[in-house]
Amino acid sequence: MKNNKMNVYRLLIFLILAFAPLWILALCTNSALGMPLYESTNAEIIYMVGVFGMMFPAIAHLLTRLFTKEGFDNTYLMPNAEKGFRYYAAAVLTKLILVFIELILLWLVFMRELSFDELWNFGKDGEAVAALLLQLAFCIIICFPAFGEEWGWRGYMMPKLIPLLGKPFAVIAGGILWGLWHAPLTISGHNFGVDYPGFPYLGILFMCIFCVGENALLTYITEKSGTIYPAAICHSINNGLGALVVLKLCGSSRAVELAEQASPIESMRYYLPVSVVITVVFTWLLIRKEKRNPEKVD
Amino acid sequence: MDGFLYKDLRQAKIYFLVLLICQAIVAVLQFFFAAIMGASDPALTVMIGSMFCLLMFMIVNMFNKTLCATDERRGWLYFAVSTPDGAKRQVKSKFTIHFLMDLMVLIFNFFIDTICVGICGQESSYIVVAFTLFCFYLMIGAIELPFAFRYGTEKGGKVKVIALIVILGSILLYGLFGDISFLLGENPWEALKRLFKTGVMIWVLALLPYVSCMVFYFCYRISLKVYTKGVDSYEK
Repeated sequence: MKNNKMNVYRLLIFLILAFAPLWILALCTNSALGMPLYESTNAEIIYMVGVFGMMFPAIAHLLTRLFTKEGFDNTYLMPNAEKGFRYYAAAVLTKLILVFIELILLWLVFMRELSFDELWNFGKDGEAVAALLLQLAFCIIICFPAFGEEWGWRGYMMPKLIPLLGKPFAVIAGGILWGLWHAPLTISGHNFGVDYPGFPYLGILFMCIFCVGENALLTYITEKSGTIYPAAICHSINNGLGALVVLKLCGSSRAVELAEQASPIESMRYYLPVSVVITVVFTWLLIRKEKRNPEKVD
Repeated sequence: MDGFLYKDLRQAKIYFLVLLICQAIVAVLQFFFAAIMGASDPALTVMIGSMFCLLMFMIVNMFNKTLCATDERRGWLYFAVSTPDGAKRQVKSKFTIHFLMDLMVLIFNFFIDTICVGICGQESSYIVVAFTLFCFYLMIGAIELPFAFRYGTEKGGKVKVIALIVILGSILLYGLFGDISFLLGENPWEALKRLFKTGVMIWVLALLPYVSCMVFYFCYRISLKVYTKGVDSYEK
């Protein structure tokens, strides 16, 4: 009971320290630019806000442990590379499969005038494939901003939520919290822009549903591997090698044109069933792991 | 945490501190250059950033060599080999420190680059250069380690120098006798950027991270095999 109260107290401090700076940052940049951040043409400010904003959950994690004198046990920072290498590989592969599914959906919904072969232009020396490989390596090795988010959400929030709510509800609650954390950015036009019906509530809702799916996947990866790095790599690939990026690197000019014309909120609407399936599958895998190893559950 | 890794981290504490101070000074200099001339000449910001990044990787590789050399004492080596899995843990900790130091330089340069981009635009980003240098130094440092374990750091260092001479010599020879017409007649900076986006060079850049990870792993496995043979070959 006392443990639960302490968990709730620490979780609240963490959430305040994670949420507040992003809201302040988003408000300040929107005021300074005089428009929603992601509607401006200032790509440099957008990039900086993205990189430093993603570090806030990790900073919140560190500060919460220091303020509440929790110590630094169970931080998920040891890489477990030798024993856990298959989890790193599985994280990369799983995310690449999901990117492929996203690509197929994009093609089926928005690019039907092209055959699947017509989507691609690999360049005369296969330069596009080389660019893709380089981008993948980049996402894997330079996953520092993604580490910033993952060490906060999967490294601290989820281990606190799971004993309080049980795994299924913790996955859903954690995903919703993570989606709400993105709210100031969604309001600033991140991912979906500002010109869609139901702005910004529909965007925030879709973001929450997407984050629940990703939370299930990343929590499962983190629990299975015992370390935060596979989840950070998975998250980094999600951000840096999405379907649109793959098309921009390897797609034909007509495919890129059609993809850029597609409404992001519409694209997300078609991806949501995939998010629901991911949520169900990985939550089931998490619960199944618990039932198989009950003595290892906290 | 493994005892050998803890020992190496404690010994390397001063190097991490020096690295931190050097990077802070370099960061200030880079922000200064970016603010003064970055917007008007992004190529200069990229070159300055790349040079400082290269300097930091060279300093870090010197630290790694010094750390390896501090353990070249017969008493310590016999102790390491006598403990359960001691040879494996000793080798693993050296490779881990090598990786961590290079990673620290990359992390610092990533954030410095982000701020430079904020000051003077996306054109001034040198992160691809930093990433390439990270992969290159990870590989070169890893190649040196099995030789250092087997024959000592002095001889191991010579292997690295030979490898670097071969690479730089090839580039110099190409520069003297090869076709460099692409660099003449127009902006050499734009020509260089175009070179690395096409043909063979983009494949070299693309495959370097994967090759460097494989080389790092294979050098680790080779080091495990040669470590105990090297113990008796040290003179001290």
